[in-house]
Amino acid sequence: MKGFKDVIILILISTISGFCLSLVYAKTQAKIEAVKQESVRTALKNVADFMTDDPKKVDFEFSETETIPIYDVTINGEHLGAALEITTPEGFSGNIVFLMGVNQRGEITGFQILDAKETPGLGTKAADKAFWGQFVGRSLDTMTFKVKKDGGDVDAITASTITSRAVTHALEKGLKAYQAYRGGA
Amino acid sequence: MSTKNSIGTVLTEGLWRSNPVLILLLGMCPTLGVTSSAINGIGMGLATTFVLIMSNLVVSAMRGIIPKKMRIPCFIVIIASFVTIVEMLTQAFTPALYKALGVFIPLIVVNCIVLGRSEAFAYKNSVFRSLLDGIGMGIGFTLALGIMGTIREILGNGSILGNPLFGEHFSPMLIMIMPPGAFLTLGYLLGLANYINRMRARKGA
Amino acid sequence: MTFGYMIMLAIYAMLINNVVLMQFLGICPFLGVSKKVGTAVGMGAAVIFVMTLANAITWLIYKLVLFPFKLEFLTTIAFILVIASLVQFVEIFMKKMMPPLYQSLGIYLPLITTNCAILGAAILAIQKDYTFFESIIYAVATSVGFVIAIVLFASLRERLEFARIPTIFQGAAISLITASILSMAFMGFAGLVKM
Repeated sequence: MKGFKDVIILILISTISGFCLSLVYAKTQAKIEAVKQESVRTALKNVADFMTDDPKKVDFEFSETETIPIYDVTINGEHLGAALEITTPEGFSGNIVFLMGVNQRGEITGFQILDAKETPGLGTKAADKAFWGQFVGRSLDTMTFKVKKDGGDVDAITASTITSRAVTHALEKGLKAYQAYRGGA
Repeated sequence: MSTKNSIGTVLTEGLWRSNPVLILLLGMCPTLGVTSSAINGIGMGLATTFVLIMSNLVVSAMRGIIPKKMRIPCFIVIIASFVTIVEMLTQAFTPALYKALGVFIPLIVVNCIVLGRSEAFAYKNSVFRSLLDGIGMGIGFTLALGIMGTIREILGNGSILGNPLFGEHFSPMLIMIMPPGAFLTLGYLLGLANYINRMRARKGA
Repeated sequence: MTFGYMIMLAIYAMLINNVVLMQFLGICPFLGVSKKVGTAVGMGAAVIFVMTLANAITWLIYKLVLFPFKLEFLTTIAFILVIASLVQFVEIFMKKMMPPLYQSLGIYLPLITTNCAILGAAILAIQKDYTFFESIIYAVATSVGFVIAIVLFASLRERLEFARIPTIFQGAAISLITASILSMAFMGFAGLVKM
């Protein structure tokens, strides 16, 4: 009988805490969603100054195996540019996911890393403007998207050639995807 | 053991004499895992402090009801509830911290300090004393994590709380914010704690 | 899922992202039960056993109960209860059915409930959105990584017994500094495979 009572108490405690948790959950859920959306919106605005509050999100099939999410900004029928979410598997220790902004002339307007596992202090420098600033205003016509070591125009991050190559290559891919997207639109 | 101690001792016990990290060697995982910067260390410390205080309060308030045989599962349920609350609150109000601490927030559940204080203190003491114990232990833990984070951030990133200290041409010791740096810093801190304790013992003698 | 991918996942979880030396999970047993190689092996075997079972069960609970009923916020509480009862169950089962195994692993089982590597691996497998099979491989590889780390460390500590160490660094302090050097060695695996 005593063991039975103990179990009842444990179940009671669990029920009460489950109930309390669902209350807190209900209260915080809306806020968590808002924070998530806000961070996406801030990131989008960081990479493209022409960004509006509600860009049209398109899942663009760049190739058979790759779908690139594109945030298309079109105001009153006039296309201003877009932000592209690019994933590259070529990073030093895994995928690098970043947002890039492209204006209607096909020039890069901004860059922000969303997720990367690069070496702290070396590969993570790709997130600094000192590195990605060199791409701003450049397009496929005005820049050779290769690091200088490989005969291109890009200053690589010291001691992080692999990360630099990955980002450079992925940016080129993004610009091509944008061209293809515009060509098809 | 500490049931006869005065209220002041209960509060200050966790700061140094029974500091959970430096003396009792409890809660090492978050101590090593999240202290790559001072702010992360302090954030983790505060999150744990909240769980510690709340679970101490609830456990001591319910110590008459919680059956002796089933006490550990009961503690775990209570602690896990507060951990989930912390998880949701940090996610809603400090998303950057939530991202930086990652899996270590849910892992507060298995932090030996929290379960240890429920078992060793809150289950045997009044609500008020358990509150003080929670505060003291929590601050002690936060302090240790803050020190770890500050040392690693200064050496490994050349900054303190995100503000650069040494100017542009300073090349920081990257290893300090990487995993080996965590072990190294804690090893030297423990050595220092031993040294201070020995000095104090010698003075007392 | 290809065979090559499985190998890569295993190498990643075992060496590159070693659970103890790179992710700082399971530090308590890593420091606590590493004085002798024998006990380290015993603890490691118990961890492999429990972690694999725990990952399988928590994955099923998450995908079959928590996720469909929108109860994700109960993940932490559900997982820790599952792990705690699993450990109890394994202990009772082993005692009855496999006495020799219980003789060798039994004493480590109660310690495993508070081993954050078990809960950590279960939560990480969910966060990384692994399939059931991937989750199992991840658990096996992670726990083997734990064994590698703790056995290497125990061997080093057995040697340290004979070294002359400044008194203030004796005990945990010198162990942590040793772990630091071991962790540095494991950094050499970075970039071996990409995940």
